[in-house]
Amino acid sequence: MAQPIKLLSPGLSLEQTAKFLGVPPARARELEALVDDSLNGGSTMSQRVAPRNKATKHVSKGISKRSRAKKAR
Amino acid sequence: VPRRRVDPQAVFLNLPYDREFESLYLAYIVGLSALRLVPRVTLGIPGGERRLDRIFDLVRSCRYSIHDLSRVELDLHRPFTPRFNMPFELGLAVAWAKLNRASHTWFVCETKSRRALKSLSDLNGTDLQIHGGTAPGVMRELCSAFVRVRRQPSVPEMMEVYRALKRGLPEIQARAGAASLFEPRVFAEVSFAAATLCRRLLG
Repeated sequence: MAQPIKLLSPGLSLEQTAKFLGVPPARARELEALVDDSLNGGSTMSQRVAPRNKATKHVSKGISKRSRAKKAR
Repeated sequence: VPRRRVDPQAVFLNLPYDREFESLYLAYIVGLSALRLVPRVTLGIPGGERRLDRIFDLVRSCRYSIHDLSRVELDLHRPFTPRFNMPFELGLAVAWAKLNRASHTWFVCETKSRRALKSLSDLNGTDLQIHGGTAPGVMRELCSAFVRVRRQPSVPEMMEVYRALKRGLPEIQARAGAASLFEPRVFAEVSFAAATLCRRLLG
């Protein structure tokens, strides 16, 4: 088995990483905020796009037991 | 061939860009970010004559390259063909590393053990990284290929970053108006978000 490569360098800073990847500074700040938000259990954008998911969920569930009971009555 | 600056943290990722591969694509991005490396891909390189030159330039500028040969099957659309891009780009990297041993190191990953040795028997005698087609498998193999001397992240730590990153994907994709993760802007933003998560969660 080959020996693993030892990485001695501390790596790039976040600013350098953004530059290297071509992410504009303003968008990099937004992404950092998104990450922090997500880690703090705050309102991530995945929750903000929830209405579509919610609708899908509702359709897939079909008629609830409660409304079925209501109809029966 | 004119000399080109080699980025010591850059890793050329040679992967299939298809929906079934999305979770492994993310796993590679997270795993490399956790090791403080920066992934580079060919997304955004236009077709045509210059494409090959630009791919080769990208390989030359990266200190390492990872070639995933998991997609050797015939595709689902006519005409049914295997995909030769990955083995072709591996060939470029191998040739470049032969000529410049100190400036390039390549790795080959596969889902199944022994399959790559059948599909590409020239690799006999090469240690392959077999990830089993799972995200933790990719991270395990990255950790066996690279070791951060100061602080090696563990696979569970990398998986925590992976799960957090997945939660943020809908926002990144929606903002870019992208239908898939395999778009240049999405790749850049996902890679940056992965690097940020790694700094926050792994130090």
